[in-house]
Amino acid sequence: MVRITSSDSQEFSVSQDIACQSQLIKNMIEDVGDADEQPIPLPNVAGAILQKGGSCFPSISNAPKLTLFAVIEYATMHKDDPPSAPETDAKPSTSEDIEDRDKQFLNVDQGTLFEIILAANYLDMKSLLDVGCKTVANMIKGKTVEEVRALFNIVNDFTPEEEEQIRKENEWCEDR
Amino acid sequence: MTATILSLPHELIRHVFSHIHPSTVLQYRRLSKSINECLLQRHFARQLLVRFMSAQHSTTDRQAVKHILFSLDDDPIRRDLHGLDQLDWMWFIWPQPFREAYVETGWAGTDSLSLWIDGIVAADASVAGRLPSFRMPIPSEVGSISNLVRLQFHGLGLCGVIPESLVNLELLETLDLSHNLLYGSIPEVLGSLVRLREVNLGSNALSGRIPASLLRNWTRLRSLVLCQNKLAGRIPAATISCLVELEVLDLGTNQMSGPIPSEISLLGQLTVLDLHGNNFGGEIPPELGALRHVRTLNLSQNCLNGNIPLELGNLPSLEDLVLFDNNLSGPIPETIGNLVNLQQVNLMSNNLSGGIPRDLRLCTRLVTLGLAFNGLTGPLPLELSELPRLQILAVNDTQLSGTIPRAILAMENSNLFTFQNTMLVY
Repeated sequence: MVRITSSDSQEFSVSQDIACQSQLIKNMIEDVGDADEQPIPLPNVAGAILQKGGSCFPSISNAPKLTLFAVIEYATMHKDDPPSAPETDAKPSTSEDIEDRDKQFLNVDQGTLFEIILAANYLDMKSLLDVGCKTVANMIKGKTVEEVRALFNIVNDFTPEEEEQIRKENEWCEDR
Repeated sequence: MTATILSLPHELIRHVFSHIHPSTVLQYRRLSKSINECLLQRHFARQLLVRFMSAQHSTTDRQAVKHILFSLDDDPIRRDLHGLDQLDWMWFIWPQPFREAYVETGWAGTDSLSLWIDGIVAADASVAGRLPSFRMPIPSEVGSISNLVRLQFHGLGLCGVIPESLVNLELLETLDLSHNLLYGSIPEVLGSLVRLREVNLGSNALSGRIPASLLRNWTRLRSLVLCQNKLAGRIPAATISCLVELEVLDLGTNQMSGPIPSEISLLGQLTVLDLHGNNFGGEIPPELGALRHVRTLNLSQNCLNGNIPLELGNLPSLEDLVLFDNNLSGPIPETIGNLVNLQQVNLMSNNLSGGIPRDLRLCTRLVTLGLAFNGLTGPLPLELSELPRLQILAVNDTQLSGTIPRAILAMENSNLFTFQNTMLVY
């Protein structure tokens, strides 16, 4: 077992194969040697308490959870996956091929989703990061710029002239 | 504070957008300044393009040839523009970082790049409206597709000048930019592309002269097609003979002038010599009789004068002798009977005089014989009826006289025989 602590001092004990889905933790363990000695601090991962619904673990769905907890949940779900081949030029993945269980796992509010993506990035969990980004991409696809701005509360910080210039450059790909 | 999409570092924003197809992703540049910045990064372009490139674009396929033909039959426009090949098309429209990235990814290692639209379809306004707007210049990044041996952008409606960056394509053997809207002059620097074998810049709006120095280096050239442009000036007499391997010289429909240089006769491999539709003057050089392999000789619609040289009878391979709309005078050379492979003779609208050579009967493959609008005299030779393939015989508006032989009127393949405005009688 590996002990890890979140930024708000919540401590988790997880098996090594789950913890090591994080390349960051894996490297730390390899550097430190004996993992049992002291908890691994992850100061960048989520103090914010997140509400995550639609979990595939009914007992804990709708319970207040930490981002780290959600990430561990994901890692547990995927612990028996074959090691993923590195994405190569020849065989890129597309955003259409998200597994159902991952779709369900990431069926959360935006804030949680972006926290999970940030955590996956920090923890260096490539598959989670990828599936998180694909999920956001799928939310964007097919929407107009205005719809995407509304969806993500993006403030248009262009002057009308600047925006018109880009619109002109983009004539060929707008409204397709 | 709750995380938002803008709390993601640029790297992750790029990751998100790299999952959105290149044909639509750039519309999201308008979302905000920081996103615009992300999407214009070359690194992003590369990440995106690698993800969406089909196997045939992969860097391992060094033989990639891209033929895209638009036709009306099965609405392939929609298919192609939504398929992966549309990336090739977008290259012309993309912002520079994308063009650069595509050269490094999609076209990396490509030695043959061939993009063309069927001309008739492209001219159809309703279809053209659904194609990307190709009123775009050829991006200078083309010069970075360094393995190219063959480059063909045909019928894409590209405008602007021919980019000098083409000079970097040192391996280039075929350059076809025909049927576009290119203007300006032919860049002299292209002379350094010494491996070129075929150059087709036809049907554009190119102007200026043909740089003499260009031809000096193109010693391997087999085909030079510059027809239907606005090229002016003379044929560079001093360097044209450097093209010792030239088989096709097509300068038709330009605004060139001056004499036809006799040095052309040194191009011993020539099979097509087409100089029609210019302002060439002077006489037809008798030296052209040395072009043993020439099959098509088209000097029509110029200002040529003098006689038709007897020496043209020395062209055993000649199939098409097209000299109409000039000021040629004198007789039709008797030596025409030596040209046993002739299929088309068009000498209409000149000032030719004398009779129709009876030896034409030896040209048994003749399909078209156009002699109208000349000062020809004498009878219509009965021997013409011995030409089994003759379909068109135009002798109207001449001084021919006498009776039209019945055998000629009875010829089997006759399609169009014109005798009006002569003194011929039935």
